[in-house]
Amino acid sequence: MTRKDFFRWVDDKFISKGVILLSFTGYLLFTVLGLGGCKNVDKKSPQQIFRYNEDVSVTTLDPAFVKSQSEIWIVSQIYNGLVDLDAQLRPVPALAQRWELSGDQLAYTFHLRRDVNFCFVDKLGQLSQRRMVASDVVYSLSRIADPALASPGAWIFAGKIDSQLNRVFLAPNDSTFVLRLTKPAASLLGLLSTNFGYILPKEFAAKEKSEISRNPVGTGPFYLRRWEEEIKLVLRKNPHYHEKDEQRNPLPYLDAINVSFVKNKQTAFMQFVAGEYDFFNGLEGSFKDELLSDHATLKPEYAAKMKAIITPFLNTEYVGYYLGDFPNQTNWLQDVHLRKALFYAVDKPKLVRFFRNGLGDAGDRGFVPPSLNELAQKEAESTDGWTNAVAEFRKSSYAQQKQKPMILLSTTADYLDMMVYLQETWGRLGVNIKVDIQTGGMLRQLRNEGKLMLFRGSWIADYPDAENFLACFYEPYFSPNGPNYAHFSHPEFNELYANIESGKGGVDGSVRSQNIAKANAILMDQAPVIPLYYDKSIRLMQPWVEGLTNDAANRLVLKRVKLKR
Amino acid sequence: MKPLLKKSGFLLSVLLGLVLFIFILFQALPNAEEMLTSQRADAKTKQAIVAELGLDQPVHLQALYYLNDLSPIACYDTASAKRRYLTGFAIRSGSMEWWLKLPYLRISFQTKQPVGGMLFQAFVGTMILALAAMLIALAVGIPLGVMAAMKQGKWVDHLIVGLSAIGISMPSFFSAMLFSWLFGFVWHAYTNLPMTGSLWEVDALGEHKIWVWCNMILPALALGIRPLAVFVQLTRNTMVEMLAQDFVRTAKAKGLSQWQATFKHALPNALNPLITSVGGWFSSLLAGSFFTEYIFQWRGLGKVTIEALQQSDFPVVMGAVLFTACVFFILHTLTEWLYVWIDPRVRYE
Repeated sequence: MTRKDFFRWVDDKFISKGVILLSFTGYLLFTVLGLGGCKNVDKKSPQQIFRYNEDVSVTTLDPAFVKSQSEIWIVSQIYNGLVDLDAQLRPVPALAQRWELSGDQLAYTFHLRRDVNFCFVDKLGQLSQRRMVASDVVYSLSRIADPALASPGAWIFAGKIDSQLNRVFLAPNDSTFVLRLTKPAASLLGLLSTNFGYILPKEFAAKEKSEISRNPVGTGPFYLRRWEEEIKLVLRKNPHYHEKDEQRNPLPYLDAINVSFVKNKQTAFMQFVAGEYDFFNGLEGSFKDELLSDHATLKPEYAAKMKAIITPFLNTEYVGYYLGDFPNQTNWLQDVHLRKALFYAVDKPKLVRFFRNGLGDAGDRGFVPPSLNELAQKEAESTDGWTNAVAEFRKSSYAQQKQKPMILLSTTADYLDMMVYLQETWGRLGVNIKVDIQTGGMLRQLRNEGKLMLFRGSWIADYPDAENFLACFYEPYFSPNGPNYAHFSHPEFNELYANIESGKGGVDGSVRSQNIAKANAILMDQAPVIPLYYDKSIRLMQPWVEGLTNDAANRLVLKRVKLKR
Repeated sequence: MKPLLKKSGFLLSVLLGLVLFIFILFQALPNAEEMLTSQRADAKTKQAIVAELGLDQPVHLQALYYLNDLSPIACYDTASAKRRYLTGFAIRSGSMEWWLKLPYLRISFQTKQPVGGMLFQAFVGTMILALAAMLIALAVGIPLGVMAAMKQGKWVDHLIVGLSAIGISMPSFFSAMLFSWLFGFVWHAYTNLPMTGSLWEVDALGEHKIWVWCNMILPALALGIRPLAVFVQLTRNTMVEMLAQDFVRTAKAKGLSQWQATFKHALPNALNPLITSVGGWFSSLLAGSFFTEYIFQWRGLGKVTIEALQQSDFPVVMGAVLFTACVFFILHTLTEWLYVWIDPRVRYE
């Protein structure tokens, strides 16, 4: 078409009264058709479809590489481990019917169930099965321990097993699996209950990492039917799942699970209120006050519309110190009196009430949550906390400085209000604090490199054992080699930790409990950390959801959930 | 041909500059291994991840390897070539392979998927959204602009100009939040429009993909508001100028109606600045719908890039920036050519 032709066409066709009419008609049609086509057909489905949203990206479904709760929740529907946890977080049989520990505590023998099958899915959605055998377990656990895989879960076996993996993981027959340790490990069963202990089919040995990540095959109650990244993930009921309920009915009850990926938590919450999701996890500052009273209960207008489960969660929110040296700068926090002063000055019950609407318990029993430390003693009553703080502050060398040196408190933006409160509190004591905001990734990096004097952090249990919390102060785990970000060093604590880790004096015995209490008490005395509060998790669900529970590990168990709309 | 070569040279230098700039910029972001590991990962695991991602090399070498991946002619050792998803032809010489290939944008650190495929899929979403927004802006903006010009100085003119001023001053992230909340939540019972959604969804049992056009309405409106307001003002101003021209007066004197004189004579002459503006706006809608996509959870280039940035997913961020630069370049060049083609007074130099 030449320029002349174009203008002729414009004259003839385009620029006329019709164009206006057409454009408006088109616009109207677009709107009407759009609105008419917006009915959500899924909601009318007679099947049991459980819907929830994940505001954190799911990037992999390979149990060896999952790292966020959102990923763990999904893989835990697809896979099983040898061991599971009961509601009190004690190890119970899963794929292993039972197990024995050798007299020297160096060999675990697991006897596997014979009725467990892997659920393979082809591209057309057709299912096939194969029995799970001991060699699958050998493959799965060797894979985690193999340095070549670079799994973030390799630490579960670090220092506990021989580097020759064929001497560690053994399958004497199809239904027996043996794990040999180089030193006793009291928390091994807890470690095997994590996603790193999930069992994959040995056929995966021939597959690329990316393929395993996108096409998981497990023995769990659901299998992956479809995953459209950042749009929707659909899990379907595994018809050959081995578990049955008390009436011998097959589990799970749900036909499918739909996971959406709306990143804005506030938007997702509004969608939950509108009934688009059956379940909603966690709260955010922006709508916390709208939903909860000061005492962690739903406000009446919401209590009528939804159910809530509030459970203690194995997560300690804290302010951490770095106790090492800084080049050309005095680290005032090496002084235990200043650390204790900062610890005592914080009114933790008040902090929980006003910043968390009562969703948590004041962090006054040390770093280990009280549920994992039965002998925990409450050290300081909040009433005399300020007097203690002033007394400790006066003893510190920092207090002797005429010009109070500035101490940087690093945090992410979502905890800014809480940190500003701490800044104000410590300012009243005489400590010059400046709040510094970092992104989550940068905060982690700087903390691991020992570049932050004072930082906010949270420690969520990887497995339900006090050992996991105490590891944050064990000398061999100085960051970046491990989670001792404080670079805290205390010979007596180290010895206690080694005993706790190896289960010296008995794995479940009172000696271990006493050691945990002693180690926790050392932390409270030396104050290498300020526990702010022990977190609680909140789950909201629609009134028609039944059978959904929660535990201190905040696991999502959906195999017994029913929807009664 | 010469201007095209000149422009291609310019594009290449811009791309090279971008690659180097982003490499430097990424040094200030958190290390990728921090985003890929759990809280208990030890130094050994982190080192293994760093080595696997090729981040253990000096920065200048990393940049060179990346340029080699981008280049249509590249050289690899056999093992490196095997690890990559290359599309093209190879000539083997000893342990080395010479490739004539499509630019390779690597695989995502997070999802382990090829970045090229991820970006293309996202780009289709962005393209459709931008087209819809542009159609709304043009379909509503031009008639309103013409109407305002025809009623110059009257209340209709003031109303249209006033509303368009509000539209121009309303950032797209604000209109996106407002529309999402009002039409998707508060008035949802009447509009039936969703707060979020992509062009297509998956049914509850995961069997089928379903196209959901209504998911596009709110993001397209939110994205189209600003260009719409600009087009109204631009059309109005140029039309006012054109309607005062002698040729329009002559057309009327020859017996044409006001309507005919306006649409057959004035409007075609007022199109030129509008076309330039449409080209510019379309490019920026393609590249600048980040917030709108993020708020409406529309699966597009913007959403993918923001999420990649949050996760320090270097290959995706780099790929998205280069991809966007190329789109900008192509659209800008097309607009220039269209401008020359429509207006004979303009010549390409």
